[in-house]
Amino acid sequence: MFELRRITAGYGATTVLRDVSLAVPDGSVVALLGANGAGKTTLLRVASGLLQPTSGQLVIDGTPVEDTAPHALVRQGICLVPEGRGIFRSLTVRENLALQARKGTEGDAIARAVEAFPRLGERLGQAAGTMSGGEQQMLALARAYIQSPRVVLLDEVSMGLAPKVVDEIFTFLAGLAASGTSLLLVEQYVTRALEVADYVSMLHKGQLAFAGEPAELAGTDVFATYVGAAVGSH
Amino acid sequence: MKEYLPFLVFGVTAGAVYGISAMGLVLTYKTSGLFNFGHGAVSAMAAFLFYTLHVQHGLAWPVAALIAVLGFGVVVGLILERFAAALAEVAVTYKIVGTIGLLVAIRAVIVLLYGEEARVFTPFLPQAKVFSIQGVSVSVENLITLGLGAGAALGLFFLFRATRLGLAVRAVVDDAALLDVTGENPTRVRRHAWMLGTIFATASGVLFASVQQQVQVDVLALLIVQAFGAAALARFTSLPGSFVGGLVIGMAQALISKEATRMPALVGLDLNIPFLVLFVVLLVIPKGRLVDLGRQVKARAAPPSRLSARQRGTVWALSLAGAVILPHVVGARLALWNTALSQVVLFLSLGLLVRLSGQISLCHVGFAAAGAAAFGHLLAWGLPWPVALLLAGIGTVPVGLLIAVPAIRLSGLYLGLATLGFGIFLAQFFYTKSYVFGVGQQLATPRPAGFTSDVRYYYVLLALALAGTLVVVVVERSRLGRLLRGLADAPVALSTLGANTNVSLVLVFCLSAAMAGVSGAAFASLFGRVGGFSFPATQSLTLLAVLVVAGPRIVPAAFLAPVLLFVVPGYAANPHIADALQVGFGLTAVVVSAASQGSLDAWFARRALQARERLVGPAARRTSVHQPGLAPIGGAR
Amino acid sequence: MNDDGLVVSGLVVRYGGLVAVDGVNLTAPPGRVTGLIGPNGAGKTTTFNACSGLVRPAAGRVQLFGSDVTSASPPARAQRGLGRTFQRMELFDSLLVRENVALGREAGLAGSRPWHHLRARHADRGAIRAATDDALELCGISHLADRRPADLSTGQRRLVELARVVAGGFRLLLLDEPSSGLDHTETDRFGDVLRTLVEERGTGLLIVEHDMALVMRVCHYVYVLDFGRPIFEGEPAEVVASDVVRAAYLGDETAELMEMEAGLV
Repeated sequence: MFELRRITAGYGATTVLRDVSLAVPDGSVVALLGANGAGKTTLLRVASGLLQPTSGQLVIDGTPVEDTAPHALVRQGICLVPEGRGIFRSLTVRENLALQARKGTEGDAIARAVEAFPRLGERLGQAAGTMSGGEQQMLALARAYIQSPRVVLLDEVSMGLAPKVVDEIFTFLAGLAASGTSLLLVEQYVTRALEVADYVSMLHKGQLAFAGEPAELAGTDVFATYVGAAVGSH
Repeated sequence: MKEYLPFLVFGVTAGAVYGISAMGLVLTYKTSGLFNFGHGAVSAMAAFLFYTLHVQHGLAWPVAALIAVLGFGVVVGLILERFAAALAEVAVTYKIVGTIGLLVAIRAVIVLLYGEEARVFTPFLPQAKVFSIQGVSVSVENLITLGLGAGAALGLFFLFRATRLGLAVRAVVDDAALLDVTGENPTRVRRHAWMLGTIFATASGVLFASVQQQVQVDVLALLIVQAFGAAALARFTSLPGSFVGGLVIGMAQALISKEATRMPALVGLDLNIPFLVLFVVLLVIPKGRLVDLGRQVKARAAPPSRLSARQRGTVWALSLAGAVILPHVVGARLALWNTALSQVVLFLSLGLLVRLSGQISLCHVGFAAAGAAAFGHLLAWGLPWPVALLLAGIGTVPVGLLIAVPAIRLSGLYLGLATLGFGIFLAQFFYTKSYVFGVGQQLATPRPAGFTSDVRYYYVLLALALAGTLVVVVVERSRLGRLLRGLADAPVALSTLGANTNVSLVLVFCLSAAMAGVSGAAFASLFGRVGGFSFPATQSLTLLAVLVVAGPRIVPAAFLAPVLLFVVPGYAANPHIADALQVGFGLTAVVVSAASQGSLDAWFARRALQARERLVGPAARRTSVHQPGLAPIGGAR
Repeated sequence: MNDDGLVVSGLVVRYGGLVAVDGVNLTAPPGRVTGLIGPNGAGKTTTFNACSGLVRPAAGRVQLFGSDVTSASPPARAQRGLGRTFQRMELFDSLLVRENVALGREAGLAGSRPWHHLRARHADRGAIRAATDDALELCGISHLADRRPADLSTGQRRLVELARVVAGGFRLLLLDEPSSGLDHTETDRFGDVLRTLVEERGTGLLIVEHDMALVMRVCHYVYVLDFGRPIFEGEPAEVVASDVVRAAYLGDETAELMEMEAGLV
């Protein structure tokens, strides 16, 4: 199990997250919801080691992680697909995949990636930045996939993509989860996120507003409170 | 054609050296976002180290090269990587100042150890003729140098295309944070890039010394500008392009020096091709192609003064009283104070650009020189001293206008580079002409009648410094001051509010140039005669470093900086103390730059926290681990 | 000069090969609050930048009060009455809040004339002071006038940026995500300021906003973008009811909730 315990974090003098705890049990999908500015991306940055929290810990299987540098967390199986497109735009698709693979296994890794996303196979020699948005996002996901990570942190993977592409991506994610990989999913399409999620956490103004199962949400007060925040009621 | 060949052979060889240096510069710039103005100083240090080992101690050249190029390159590369990391999160002005601090410090170390004179450097590579083209012999040295350059360019190309490290280096250029979440430590990758880039710097230094057959600190330290020119031709991004750029510059230099044998007007232009290329390329490349690499951080505004208005008044009154009685206290050292006082207006004018407007100028001494030259000619026409002084300032305005053009187009690093190229071009091409500082560099600039004694001239300088201060204070409080602060903080917002920011920019550059011109004139008058040698182009870099060291407030810094630069070393008995102080200024500029974004505060805060944790013990931490505020969801599964 | 305010027609903006904005038409007249919404990356901020002259459109026209400003510089557009705020606030951190707001007016007075950059005309000084005081008061930040923006909260900084364009006296304002980072009271205050500007002063507003409740509450007319293309326009109630918008942007549940919200307000 991957846990964030009592995380407080921010940028400079601004505190974005206050005392947020969250757990991603093995093999489960956790959706992280919240309005713009609630702190979702910041939480993923902390979880992936890109931002060092001012207090709190990352815990894997009950043991606090000592070295929380991003590359060290990758070795522990924590993998981030960042907001925007998580690819090296100036490198070719093949180079993007090779860089992610362990030394000596580049060929296998590329083969696995092409198996998962056949469309990438046609584009191996192309500079990644020149592909369509959907293909770029597939490459970003493929890069995460070929590491066989324990936990994948996904930040708004559907952003700016056509609905059909989003369908493909969610199908892939469902398959990934079914194969035992845990997912922590930040997503603006609330409905889609709830469809695949086992658990839901909600952030509101940097604090945890709700944690539970999607079913608990239907028609509860918590839901009203959250959506109120999300669409900005007063 | 035949008469050009010897020049071309030399040009290609020199060009290969520039190319090697440029590739190292671009490699480190791309991977770390830090453009190292001290790159050439590192080359110089390697060349001198090689000189000591090989020429002075007779070590065999391959051994000396191994130590000075590879060993030294690796060690300095590792240090520079840490240095780049310390400067990664600061505003671009401070990145420039930080690496200039490095240049100033290294240059001063070399001067301390070897002095400023050129030393004969016997070429170590075999000079034997290999073959000749139409009677022009090509030596082993020519071939080795060209081969090394071309080999390095090809090697880099291969490294980047075909190796995992090369892939990682390209990835770190593309997106360092993403590389980190890919599982590759960006610091490790950068460390390799810096080692490689620094080895290119050291290699180019040793080869350049060999091609030039001499080692001299400024020639070598400014090898960087040849490299800048070559890199500019490759838009500061392409590595093979930088090598080709080096070759182009080397050949252009050789051809022009050939032509100069027939056309005297071209004399000296060959040496200046790189600076000219740098300046022109920066003016011509579409703005969108010149993007500052690295994290873009806004400079932190100076915190408001902690003193109350009344306390400030007291400080002012005491300082003024001190300044008035000073000539009667310092005795024979007054000459030092006069020199310093003549530079106050220069530092004020630099502060207007750097501190108030967020601009940068690495050619400020050039403005002062222009003012001094104009002043000398005006006096020669028989104009009264004060009128000549004023007109000298006004006469410098067109030079300021010339620099305002790149300032409108460029910002940050590229403005720094353009002004540096311009400043060196002024110094090397124009100062040497007899129509600037007269025949034999002896333009007469007497002191005003009735104020010729040191004590009396001191009061003239004090009055000028106070007048300059008044100008700065008025500007700071005027609309122009607010517009300039706005320009420094949020230029885009300012333009969407309806102000044409180019107008403010041109105004401040003109004002700054005029003030610098007046300062140059007053400085020239102090000595009675003046020549281009009084205004070395590298002094502009020192000025900026010392200004930053002297603190964030324009007026106090303008008074403190010249005292640090001229008075303090004069009071020391040891003649080397001035150079030692320069090392200090350079290193302090590095530290001040690294701390400019408050990273030192954060460092101290972190240390304090760790210390407290050690004192309170890990118990406090443990409680926080075992008492999660909210049950993690799914925890019971 | 006519009263159409800002008229954008057939706007296309490309970044390299990417088409960020593709054929956007919109009108933002004075005295009306016009909303511009769409998912992240839909091209809203790019449209703003093209309107204020920060990016050059590949095709299309931008007109301000009847004159074509497609190739005019940002200050020239400001001189014609167009002001804007930024999603990532662009404040003058080394100036006091009062000076920030005053510069909103002074920048326009300085314009392109060198002499006016040097010092304020005597006749203007009273007007600048009056505009500054008025803007500070309208935005409820008079008590912060002598502080520095860097010391303020995000919400307060948003209000400083708003006060700056209010002091500028622009007839048309582009507000880029004005409520992000604001808490409830600040959002309410913000809504009030906007209402005063539009109803009492006849300013036209074009706002990009994620806070749907605020959009529904203050906008008279809304344009919806997706993938840089206009997919719908209409009154807020129509937007909520639109199947196109629902599918592309809101998702069914959220849209229903928004309808409820809109009904409640």
